[in-house]
Amino acid sequence: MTLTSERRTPPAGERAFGASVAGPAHVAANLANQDAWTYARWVVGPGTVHCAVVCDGLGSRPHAREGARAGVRAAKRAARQWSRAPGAPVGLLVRLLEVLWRLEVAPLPADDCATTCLLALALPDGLEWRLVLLALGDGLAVVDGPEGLWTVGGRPAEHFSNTTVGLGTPHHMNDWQVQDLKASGQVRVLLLSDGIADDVPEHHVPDLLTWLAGLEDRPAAARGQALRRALRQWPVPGHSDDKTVVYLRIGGIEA
Amino acid sequence: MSRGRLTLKDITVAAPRPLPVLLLLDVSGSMAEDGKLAALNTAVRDMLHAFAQEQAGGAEIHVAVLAFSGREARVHVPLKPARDVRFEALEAKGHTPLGSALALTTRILDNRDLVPGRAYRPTVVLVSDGVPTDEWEAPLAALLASPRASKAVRLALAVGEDADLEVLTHFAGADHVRRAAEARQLRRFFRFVTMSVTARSRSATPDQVVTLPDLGADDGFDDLDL
Repeated sequence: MTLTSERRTPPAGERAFGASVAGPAHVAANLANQDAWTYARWVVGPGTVHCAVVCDGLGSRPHAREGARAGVRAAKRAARQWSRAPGAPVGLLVRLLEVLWRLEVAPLPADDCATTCLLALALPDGLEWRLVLLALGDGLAVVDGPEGLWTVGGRPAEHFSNTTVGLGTPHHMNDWQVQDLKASGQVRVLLLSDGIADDVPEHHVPDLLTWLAGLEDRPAAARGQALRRALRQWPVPGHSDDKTVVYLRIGGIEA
Repeated sequence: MSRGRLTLKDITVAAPRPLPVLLLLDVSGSMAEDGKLAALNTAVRDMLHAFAQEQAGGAEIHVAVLAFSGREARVHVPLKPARDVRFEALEAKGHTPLGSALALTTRILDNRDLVPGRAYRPTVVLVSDGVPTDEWEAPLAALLASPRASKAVRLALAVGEDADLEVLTHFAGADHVRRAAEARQLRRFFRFVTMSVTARSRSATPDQVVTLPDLGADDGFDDLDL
């Protein structure tokens, strides 16, 4: 989950990359990174579906790392299945993800594996993208398209750092934040675990997109190395948390 | 924003995550008796000094001192980084308006400008030697019902035999209340809170809830720096 900067090479005009590094507090405590991420693409009918996921295991849980890794597997499986049912409501995707995650962590107790979950899904819909963003717990999902910039997630008003809900903690369906929208041209998607999202003020999110766009044209290996180095040398004083970012740029759909 | 190429330093916050500590200190007239106030002032000063020296951790310890006496609570030290606090000794007089102190605590914890969302879970330490003299049940219920303020770690110390242990237990829960019958135990309580907060500020999991030790009787070793 943490050693590759690109899962598959998208076609020209598209970019998908990400990185995840253990925070200094986990490194000092000889603990592994408890974030996980994935990017995948698959063909459904005439078009290609893009899927990005970030999960952040709750540090207080003994199997947080396993929970986060199970989270990205479950989210990807759920998205793949759900994308094959045109017009299916997003609620079914959420329910499927929840169930698959519990099956993924079994036989470990779900509470011991609690994790946040961010999912971004881009589905071709005629000449537009249908973009589905899901967020349970902290972290941030961003879509930047011709129609504007949307965000999902972020820390709810009643939460402090590390006091989040997630898969494996008591929560309701309406704790999932959902955006289901259309975009008509080139789209950029950004997923950030809270180790990054908490340190980037909302008005600087477009600047972070610009910074990441500056890495687009580097060779994949060099890009991953540069991104991981930037995350390890995070400029915020006293930063301690694991950090994960996934960046996706997809072009407009041609007739 | 620097000129030329954008850097991550240009677009990230410049401050560490705060770890807030709110001290709710009873300075009613009875605290002036039996050396309680002197012991409290010394313990708070030692705590602030230790917090100010703490630079190893990921979090930055912020402290507020709320004193309650007379008719209402007041902010003796506003919430700020511990290294910036200049502590002036508290004086004791008047009644025990605990309800006012609890209401003030809720207002501070619910204020996202004072305690931002990126802050670690705050710690609230209540120290009292008497019985509340104002309406405290409703302010406590409001604190416990607040989705934000209720998430704080709450600890309480009953000073002397006249402290209302039942009220403090309502506030913090039985596991998080201790009684200090003498100055040494008060100092020991503050030392423990100091150690647990500084440990949290360095921890990979800064929101782990602390377990209070038994303050015990005087064992003669309190003043040794082991």
